[in-house]
Amino acid sequence: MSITIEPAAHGDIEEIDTLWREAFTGDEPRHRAAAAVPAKLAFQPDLFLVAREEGRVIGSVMAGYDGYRGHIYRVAVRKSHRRQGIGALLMRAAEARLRALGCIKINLQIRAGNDAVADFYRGLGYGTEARIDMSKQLS
Amino acid sequence: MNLEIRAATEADESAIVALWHACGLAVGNSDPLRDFRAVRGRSTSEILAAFDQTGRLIGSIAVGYDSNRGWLHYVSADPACRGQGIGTALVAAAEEWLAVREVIDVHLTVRAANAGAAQFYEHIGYHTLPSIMMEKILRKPR
Repeated sequence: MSITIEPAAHGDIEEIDTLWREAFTGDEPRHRAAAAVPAKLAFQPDLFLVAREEGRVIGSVMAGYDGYRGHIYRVAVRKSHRRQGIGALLMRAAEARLRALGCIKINLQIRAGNDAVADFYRGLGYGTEARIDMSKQLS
Repeated sequence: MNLEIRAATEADESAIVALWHACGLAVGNSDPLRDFRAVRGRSTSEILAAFDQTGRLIGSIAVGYDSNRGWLHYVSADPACRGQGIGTALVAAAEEWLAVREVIDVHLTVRAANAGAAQFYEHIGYHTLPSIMMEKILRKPR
Protein backbone atom coordinates (compact mmCIF):
# COMPACT_ATOMS: atom_id res chain seq x y z
CA MET A 1 0.00 0.00 0.00
CA SER A 2 1.47 3.30 -1.10
CA ILE A 3 -0.37 6.29 0.34
CA THR A 4 0.57 9.91 -0.28
CA ILE A 5 -0.73 12.95 1.60
CA GLU A 6 -0.82 16.15 -0.43
CA PRO A 7 -2.85 19.34 -0.95
CA ALA A 8 -6.10 18.84 -2.81
CA ALA A 9 -6.69 20.14 -6.33
CA HIS A 10 -9.87 21.30 -8.02
CA GLY A 11 -9.94 18.06 -9.99
CA ASP A 12 -10.44 16.15 -6.73
CA ILE A 13 -13.82 17.70 -5.91
CA GLU A 14 -15.90 14.85 -7.28
CA GLU A 15 -13.97 12.20 -5.36
CA ILE A 16 -14.02 14.30 -2.20
CA ASP A 17 -17.78 14.63 -2.57
CA THR A 18 -18.10 10.84 -2.74
CA LEU A 19 -15.84 10.47 0.30
CA TRP A 20 -17.78 13.02 2.36
CA ARG A 21 -21.20 11.64 1.44
CA GLU A 22 -19.99 8.26 2.68
CA ALA A 23 -18.47 9.64 5.88
CA PHE A 24 -20.86 12.44 6.91
CA THR A 25 -24.63 12.31 6.87
CA GLY A 26 -27.03 15.22 6.79
CA ASP A 27 -24.64 17.78 5.33
CA GLU A 28 -26.16 21.07 4.29
CA PRO A 29 -25.37 22.06 0.66
CA ARG A 30 -22.84 24.70 1.70
CA HIS A 31 -20.82 22.06 3.55
CA ARG A 32 -20.68 19.74 0.54
CA ALA A 33 -17.48 19.41 -1.46
CA ALA A 34 -18.75 21.44 -4.43
CA ALA A 35 -18.94 24.53 -2.20
CA ALA A 36 -16.45 23.89 0.59
CA VAL A 37 -13.46 22.71 -1.46
CA PRO A 38 -13.25 25.70 -3.85
CA ALA A 39 -13.75 28.05 -0.88
CA LYS A 40 -10.85 26.44 0.98
CA LEU A 41 -8.58 26.24 -2.07
CA ALA A 42 -9.11 29.95 -2.71
CA PHE A 43 -8.30 30.80 0.89
CA GLN A 44 -5.83 28.42 2.54
CA PRO A 45 -4.99 25.88 -0.19
CA ASP A 46 -2.15 24.30 1.77
CA LEU A 47 -4.53 23.34 4.57
CA PHE A 48 -6.82 21.07 2.57
CA LEU A 49 -5.09 17.72 2.33
CA VAL A 50 -6.10 14.48 0.70
CA ALA A 51 -4.75 10.96 1.03
CA ARG A 52 -4.23 9.25 -2.32
CA GLU A 53 -3.70 5.67 -3.30
CA GLU A 54 -2.78 5.18 -6.95
CA GLY A 55 -4.13 8.64 -7.68
CA ARG A 56 -7.52 8.04 -6.09
CA VAL A 57 -8.70 10.14 -3.14
CA ILE A 58 -9.26 7.88 -0.16
CA GLY A 59 -9.13 10.41 2.68
CA SER A 60 -9.33 14.10 3.53
CA VAL A 61 -8.68 16.64 6.25
CA MET A 62 -9.60 20.32 6.13
CA ALA A 63 -7.52 22.33 8.56
CA GLY A 64 -8.03 26.01 9.30
CA TYR A 65 -6.13 28.75 11.04
CA ASP A 66 -7.98 31.85 12.21
CA GLY A 67 -4.86 33.65 13.42
CA TYR A 68 -5.39 32.48 16.99
CA ARG A 69 -6.32 28.80 16.97
CA GLY A 70 -5.96 25.97 14.53
CA HIS A 71 -9.07 24.01 13.62
CA ILE A 72 -9.55 20.56 12.15
CA TYR A 73 -12.60 19.67 10.10
CA ARG A 74 -13.72 16.92 7.78
CA VAL A 75 -11.39 14.10 8.70
CA ALA A 76 -12.64 11.27 6.51
CA VAL A 77 -11.34 7.98 5.16
CA ARG A 78 -13.14 5.74 2.67
CA LYS A 79 -14.80 2.82 4.44
CA SER A 80 -12.76 0.44 2.29
CA HIS A 81 -9.54 1.93 3.69
CA ARG A 82 -10.24 2.39 7.39
CA ARG A 83 -8.17 1.01 10.27
CA GLN A 84 -4.95 1.34 8.30
CA GLY A 85 -3.64 4.50 9.95
CA ILE A 86 -4.62 6.83 7.10
CA GLY A 87 -6.58 9.18 9.38
CA ALA A 88 -3.53 9.52 11.62
CA LEU A 89 -1.31 10.25 8.60
CA LEU A 90 -3.71 13.01 7.53
CA MET A 91 -3.81 14.47 11.04
CA ARG A 92 -0.01 14.50 11.42
CA ALA A 93 0.33 16.28 8.08
CA ALA A 94 -2.32 18.86 8.98
CA GLU A 95 -0.70 19.49 12.36
CA ALA A 96 2.69 20.04 10.71
CA ARG A 97 1.19 22.65 8.39
CA LEU A 98 -0.61 24.44 11.22
CA ARG A 99 2.58 24.44 13.30
CA ALA A 100 4.47 25.99 10.39
CA LEU A 101 1.95 28.86 10.38
CA GLY A 102 2.74 29.61 14.03
CA CYS A 103 -0.31 27.86 15.47
CA ILE A 104 0.23 26.81 19.08
CA LYS A 105 -3.08 25.08 19.80
CA ILE A 106 -5.64 23.12 17.82
CA ASN A 107 -9.30 22.97 18.81
CA LEU A 108 -11.73 20.55 17.28
CA GLN A 109 -15.34 19.62 17.91
CA ILE A 110 -16.90 16.22 17.48
CA ARG A 111 -20.51 15.16 17.78
CA ALA A 112 -21.55 14.17 21.27
CA GLY A 113 -21.79 10.41 21.69
CA ASN A 114 -19.20 9.75 19.01
CA ASP A 115 -16.90 7.88 21.39
CA ALA A 116 -14.95 6.01 18.71
CA VAL A 117 -13.96 9.31 17.14
CA ALA A 118 -12.98 10.74 20.53
CA ASP A 119 -10.74 7.72 21.09
CA PHE A 120 -9.12 8.27 17.69
CA TYR A 121 -8.18 11.82 18.65
CA ARG A 122 -7.06 10.80 22.15
CA GLY A 123 -4.66 8.39 20.49
CA LEU A 124 -3.18 11.34 18.61
CA GLY A 125 -2.61 13.35 21.78
CA TYR A 126 -5.85 15.33 21.98
CA GLY A 127 -7.63 15.85 25.29
CA THR A 128 -11.20 16.79 26.03
CA GLU A 129 -11.90 20.30 27.25
CA ALA A 130 -14.68 21.42 29.59
CA ARG A 131 -16.00 23.93 27.09
CA ILE A 132 -19.33 24.80 25.57
CA ASP A 133 -19.49 25.02 21.77
CA MET A 134 -21.74 27.84 20.58
CA SER A 135 -22.63 29.01 17.11
CA LYS A 136 -24.81 31.39 15.14
CA GLN A 137 -25.56 31.54 11.44
CA LEU A 138 -25.34 34.91 9.75
CA SER A 139 -27.89 35.02 6.96
CA MET B 1 -24.13 53.94 26.13
CA ASN B 2 -22.52 55.83 23.24
CA LEU B 3 -19.53 53.89 22.12
CA GLU B 4 -17.25 53.78 19.16
CA ILE B 5 -15.93 50.49 17.83
CA ARG B 6 -12.97 50.32 15.47
CA ALA B 7 -10.07 48.06 14.60
CA ALA B 8 -7.36 48.24 17.24
CA THR B 9 -4.03 49.83 16.40
CA GLU B 10 -0.57 49.18 17.76
CA ALA B 11 -1.14 52.13 20.10
CA ASP B 12 -4.04 50.28 21.74
CA GLU B 13 -1.88 47.31 22.62
CA SER B 14 -1.11 48.05 26.26
CA ALA B 15 -4.68 49.07 27.15
CA ILE B 16 -6.21 46.01 25.48
CA VAL B 17 -3.69 43.62 26.98
CA ALA B 18 -4.40 45.15 30.41
CA LEU B 19 -8.16 44.79 29.83
CA TRP B 20 -7.83 41.11 28.91
CA HIS B 21 -5.81 40.52 32.07
CA ALA B 22 -8.40 42.46 34.14
CA CYS B 23 -11.16 40.29 32.66
CA GLY B 24 -9.38 37.11 33.75
CA LEU B 25 -8.70 35.94 30.19
CA ALA B 26 -4.99 35.20 30.69
CA VAL B 27 -5.66 31.57 31.56
CA GLY B 28 -4.59 28.26 30.09
CA ASN B 29 -2.73 28.80 26.85
CA SER B 30 -3.97 32.35 26.39
CA ASP B 31 -1.23 34.96 26.53
CA PRO B 32 -2.81 38.38 25.91
CA LEU B 33 0.29 40.16 24.60
CA ARG B 34 1.34 37.34 22.30
CA ASP B 35 -2.22 36.82 21.08
CA PHE B 36 -2.83 40.55 20.46
CA ARG B 37 0.26 40.70 18.26
CA ALA B 38 -0.63 37.47 16.43
CA VAL B 39 -4.23 38.38 15.66
CA ARG B 40 -4.33 42.14 15.06
CA GLY B 41 -4.40 43.55 11.55
CA ARG B 42 -4.23 40.29 9.58
CA SER B 43 -6.15 39.49 6.43
CA THR B 44 -7.87 36.67 8.29
CA SER B 45 -8.14 38.16 11.77
CA GLU B 46 -8.54 41.42 13.62
CA ILE B 47 -8.90 42.90 17.09
CA LEU B 48 -11.83 45.29 17.47
CA ALA B 49 -11.88 47.78 20.34
CA ALA B 50 -14.72 49.78 21.93
CA PHE B 51 -14.21 53.26 23.39
CA ASP B 52 -16.50 55.53 25.40
CA GLN B 53 -17.14 59.20 24.57
CA THR B 54 -13.93 60.23 26.33
CA GLY B 55 -11.86 57.84 24.22
CA ARG B 56 -11.28 55.39 27.04
CA LEU B 57 -11.03 51.70 26.10
CA ILE B 58 -14.04 49.82 27.53
CA GLY B 59 -14.11 46.58 25.56
CA SER B 60 -12.47 44.38 22.96
CA ILE B 61 -12.99 41.29 20.84
CA ALA B 62 -10.78 39.14 18.61
CA VAL B 63 -12.34 37.87 15.39
CA GLY B 64 -10.92 35.55 12.75
CA TYR B 65 -11.96 33.11 10.06
CA ASP B 66 -10.60 30.11 8.25
CA SER B 67 -12.95 29.82 5.21
CA ASN B 68 -15.11 27.25 6.97
CA ARG B 69 -16.05 29.23 10.07
CA GLY B 70 -15.68 32.55 11.78
CA TRP B 71 -14.37 32.48 15.34
CA LEU B 72 -14.73 34.92 18.22
CA HIS B 73 -12.19 35.07 21.04
CA TYR B 74 -11.29 37.42 23.90
CA VAL B 75 -14.76 38.95 24.19
CA SER B 76 -14.21 41.43 26.99
CA ALA B 77 -15.77 44.49 28.62
CA ASP B 78 -14.37 46.71 31.38
CA PRO B 79 -15.60 45.08 34.61
CA ALA B 80 -16.73 48.53 35.82
CA CYS B 81 -19.00 48.95 32.76
CA ARG B 82 -20.82 45.62 32.65
CA GLY B 83 -24.51 45.50 31.76
CA GLN B 84 -24.33 48.42 29.36
CA GLY B 85 -24.41 46.51 26.09
CA ILE B 86 -20.69 46.66 25.32
CA GLY B 87 -20.38 42.91 24.73
CA THR B 88 -23.48 42.88 22.53
CA ALA B 89 -22.13 45.77 20.44
CA LEU B 90 -18.72 44.10 20.09
CA VAL B 91 -20.18 40.77 18.99
CA ALA B 92 -22.37 42.61 16.45
CA ALA B 93 -19.31 44.46 15.13
CA ALA B 94 -17.37 41.19 14.83
CA GLU B 95 -20.30 39.56 13.01
CA GLU B 96 -20.30 42.50 10.59
CA TRP B 97 -16.53 42.06 10.07
CA LEU B 98 -17.22 38.40 9.20
CA ALA B 99 -20.30 39.09 7.08
CA VAL B 100 -18.42 41.37 4.70
CA ARG B 101 -16.02 38.45 4.22
CA GLU B 102 -18.98 36.21 3.38
CA VAL B 103 -18.64 34.08 6.48
CA ILE B 104 -21.91 32.36 7.43
CA ASP B 105 -21.08 30.19 10.45
CA VAL B 106 -19.80 31.99 13.54
CA HIS B 107 -18.48 29.90 16.42
CA LEU B 108 -17.14 30.55 19.87
CA THR B 109 -16.38 28.48 22.91
CA VAL B 110 -17.18 29.20 26.53
CA ARG B 111 -15.53 27.57 29.50
CA ALA B 112 -17.99 25.15 31.10
CA ALA B 113 -17.51 26.93 34.43
CA ASN B 114 -18.68 30.17 32.82
CA ALA B 115 -22.36 29.36 32.34
CA GLY B 116 -23.31 33.02 32.66
CA ALA B 117 -21.43 33.77 29.47
CA ALA B 118 -23.31 31.02 27.65
CA GLN B 119 -26.60 32.64 28.73
CA PHE B 120 -25.40 35.97 27.35
CA TYR B 121 -24.61 34.44 23.96
CA GLU B 122 -27.93 32.59 23.82
CA HIS B 123 -29.64 35.91 24.46
CA ILE B 124 -27.97 37.38 21.36
CA GLY B 125 -28.79 34.54 19.01
CA TYR B 126 -26.18 31.85 19.61
CA HIS B 127 -27.13 28.30 20.36
CA THR B 128 -25.30 25.60 22.23
CA LEU B 129 -24.14 22.58 20.24
CA PRO B 130 -23.88 19.13 21.83
CA SER B 131 -20.24 18.77 20.87
CA ILE B 132 -17.31 17.12 22.55
CA MET B 133 -14.53 19.71 22.60
CA MET B 134 -11.01 18.45 22.10
CA GLU B 135 -7.69 20.24 22.01
CA LYS B 136 -4.01 19.67 21.50
CA ILE B 137 -1.08 21.94 22.27
CA LEU B 138 1.36 22.01 19.38
CA ARG B 139 3.93 24.26 20.94
CA LYS B 140 4.43 25.53 24.44
CA PRO B 141 3.92 29.29 24.67
CA ARG B 142 7.12 31.24 24.83
